[in-house]
Formats: sequence, C-alpha cells, structure tokens
Amino acid sequence: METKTLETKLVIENLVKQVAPDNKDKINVDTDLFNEGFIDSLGVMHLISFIESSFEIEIQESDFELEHFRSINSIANFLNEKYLNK
Amino acid sequence: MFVKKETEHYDYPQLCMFQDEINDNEFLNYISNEEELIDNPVIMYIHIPFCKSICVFCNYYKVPIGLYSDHEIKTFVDAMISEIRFYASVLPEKKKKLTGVQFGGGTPTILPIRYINQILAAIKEEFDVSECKLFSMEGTMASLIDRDFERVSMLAEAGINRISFGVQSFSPHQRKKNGLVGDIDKFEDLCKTFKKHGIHDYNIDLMYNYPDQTPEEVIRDINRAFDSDVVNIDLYSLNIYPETTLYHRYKKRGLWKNYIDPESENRFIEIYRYIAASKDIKTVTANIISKKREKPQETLAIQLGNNRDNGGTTIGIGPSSRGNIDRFMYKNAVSMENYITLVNKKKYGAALGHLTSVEEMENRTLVMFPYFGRLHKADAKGLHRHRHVIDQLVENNILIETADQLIVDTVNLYWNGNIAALFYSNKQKSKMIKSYFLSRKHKLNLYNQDKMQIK
Repeated sequence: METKTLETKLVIENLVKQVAPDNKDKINVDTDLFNEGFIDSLGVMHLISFIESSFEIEIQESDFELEHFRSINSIANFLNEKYLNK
Repeated sequence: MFVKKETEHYDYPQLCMFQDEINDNEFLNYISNEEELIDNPVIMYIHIPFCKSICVFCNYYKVPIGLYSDHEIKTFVDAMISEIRFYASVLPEKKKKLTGVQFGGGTPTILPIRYINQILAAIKEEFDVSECKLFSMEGTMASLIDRDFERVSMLAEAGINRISFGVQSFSPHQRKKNGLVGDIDKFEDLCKTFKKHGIHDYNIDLMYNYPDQTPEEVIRDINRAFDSDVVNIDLYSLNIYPETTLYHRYKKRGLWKNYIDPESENRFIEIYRYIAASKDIKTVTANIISKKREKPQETLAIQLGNNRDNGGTTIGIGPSSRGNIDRFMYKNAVSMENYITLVNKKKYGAALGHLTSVEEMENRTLVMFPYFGRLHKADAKGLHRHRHVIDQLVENNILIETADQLIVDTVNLYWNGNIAALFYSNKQKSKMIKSYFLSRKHKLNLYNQDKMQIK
C-alpha cells in the first residue's frame, strides 16, 4: 500500500511538473496548486487528461471536486482510494 | 518555457453559467447610459446555428437545419430581428454606428436568402450603416458550391462582401478520415466564382494537429490556398474538449495519448518557423495568416479592432452569442428554444452578464495582446501589475520589450494562449478553475457549457 502510494505520488509529481514547468522547483507534495497560482484552469484540464491517460482510468463526473486535485498529496490519496486500489 | 500549447483567448473575463447571472436592471442601466459609454467602433455579430450536417470537431452551438420547419426558422429569425430592434431602442446614437456586421455559426450560408435579406434590412433600418464597410459571412464549402455556386451570387447581391469558410485540410486522406464534407476539387472554381461576383475578400479555415498529419502537409495546404488568392487563413490547432464525441472516439481508437502528448503537438511549431522565414507570408494575428501586402487590410482591421485595448463594442445577436458593450459582457442563451423564450419576454437574449471592473478591463488588454502579437505600452494602463510576468517572458525570450512596445515574434505566436493565461487576475484564475470543475461535474462541453457534441 505504501509503495503504491509513493509510486502514485511520483507519477503525479511528474505530471504536475509537466503542466507547470516553470515552477517545478517551488512545488512540493503539499503545495496548494491553485491558490499558489501554479496551475490555472487550462493547466488543470491538461493535468486531468494526463492523469487519465497515464493511469488508464476515467474519472467519474461526480469526482470533479476541486478538493481532490488541490495538491500532489490530495490527488495521489484520492486516486489511490477511489481508482487504483480496486 | 512552455510545454503544452494552450488555446487562444478570445474573451476576458469569461462568463460561467454557475457563477454569473444577469441583472436586468444593471444591464439596461449600463447600456443605456450615454455618459458611461465610450465612442468606439461597433460590430454586430449574428449567430445562425443551422447546419446541414454536424462536424464532429466543432464546439460552437449548432442544430441540424433538417429538424426545423420553415415556420420554426421564421420564428427564430423574427426573434433575432426583435433582438436587433431592442438594442437599437436602448443604445445611444454613438453605439448605433456600425463598422461591421458578421454572420457566424453554424452555417449562415444555408439560411434561406430571404431571411438573410430580412435581417440585413432590419439592421439597416435600425442602425447607421453609412460607414459600415464589412458585411461578413461564415459558411461551408458544400453550401457554397451547391447548385453550381448559386449561393455566391445571391450573397453578393445581398451585399455580403467577405466570406470565410472551413476547408480544414486539402488532403484527401485527412478529409476522408475526419469526415470533412465538400468536394475539395471544386475549391479553385469556388475562388474564381467569388471573384466573378465581386467578392475579393474570401478566407478559409485550416486545421493542424490531426493524428498522423505532418507540418509539411499543413504548409502545402497553406500554399494551395494562397495560390488561389485566399486573403486570410485562420489556422487552428485541433482542440478536443473532454467528454465530447471526438474525445471518446480518440480514446476508443487509442489516439488520445498521442493527442495530448505535447511533443506530438509541438511538431507543428514548424509551421510558424516556416511563416517566419517566408518572404511572402506573414502572421496578422496568432492564428490568422495572409500574403504580405503593401496596404493594411481594412475589413480585417474592422473585424479584429473590436477585441483590442478597451474591448470595443460587439452586439451579439442570436443563441450563444457573446457580446460586450464596453465594460458589460453578456452571453445569450445557448439553445434556440431558450433564446426565443427570453427574447419574447424581455426583447433581448442575454442569459449571463457581468459588469467588468476598470481594473479587469486593463488586465483584458494584456490577456488579449498575445493574440495580436504587439502592444503599445501607452495603451496598457495595467502593465505595472504584470511587470514580473513581463520580465519572466522577456528573460525566456518569449517577449521582446522595446521602449514603447511589447512584441511576440512570429514563432512564439504559437504560444499565444500560454502567454495570455499568465495575465489573468487571481480572481479570474480561480473562477476559471471552478468553472472547469463544475462543467466537468455536470458533463458539459467546456466551450459553451452546453451539451454540444456530448451524448
């Protein structure tokens, strides 16, 4: 479980840094990606596309809550709980 | 500096159906207040949603014309005429001098000519068109070549002096694969027909970033168009929104991963390098290219002028139309039925509206400028608020800053959407993120927040 979470985090971290390349050194796993302005609405669209494509999942409509995508940690936890541990 | 290309920004601040509404009194008070409104060029945009067939890549609001009786079409046209008359009744004289009229869609070229004439007659009756030099219409190749090009002569007779239509690709392979209709072998004859009827301002849309398309193929397309004296080419990157038909089709066919791969899309920056090196072709805006010419294009300047600096005035008519009268941004109902109901009740079709602050209007100038590629600093009052962004862009060789201008060079125009996004205010960034999540949650097409292309 812990290895799985760590792996997910690493993938998410990589995807986030692809979407926000200029700020990759300033982003840690708990950084609020939206409030800190590292990802905008278009960035989040790409981030979610990258997540769906990388993990080969389709995020359900009911899961489009800002809170699930606020930081690398929250994205990884949400994905592990809902999509990756089935 | 940038990894994934963002789409162009055509309006700012954007309206969101979950976060904006319209206050009728605020709307009416603002647009009828002569002292508040500035004396600037006014354009009327008229959205005709009818199409013969539905193009899978198109996110604009449209309906198959075959589903509507002539009576229903007439009811719709009557509603648009009511809306035109409404604006004429509430706007001060300085906002009634039109410099351009533009029919978009949908496919306005399939609307029966008697209705086009009725709409134009209402505009001429209610607005001052004595200095209106642009009567522009969008259309499809199929509708224009139909019945031995008879539409072209009808439109010329109605007074249309500028036509733009979608070609997307000349490649028979891409046309077949992407369901593009219209006999492309008749393209050159169509161009000759425009000239024969005195329409010398004809323009096409081309698209890049199709799977297995190459930049070389797009460059061949560009040259074929200019060989037939096309005045401007609107050059778009294929833009697929989540949950749409094309999104699911790409996922099903295993094309999605390649589509969202930045490296794959960024091959097309070669097109911009080709234009930058060309002796004959130039960019007019980030996605409009033309042959180099001695005199500036008057009608294009009219069409584009309204989106610069102070936001101008665009009176949007018809379902899904966006309008802005100086600081008041509005968006009409995105369905024919809702639009007609609203017009019948209130005589205008706006469903969402927002009175933008002066500060956001200043931000708007910065957000819009990368699309045009050049900004005179004297026109950008809010520049000081974005100094850190400008410095960062200059440092990364994206922007050139001179004593009085900011310039995006031709190759970097490819990134115009990315540059524009950096000038959003924090408030607008938050609003757009919220809008994104709410639209996805309600399974809406992000473009118009409607069910277009979504099953």
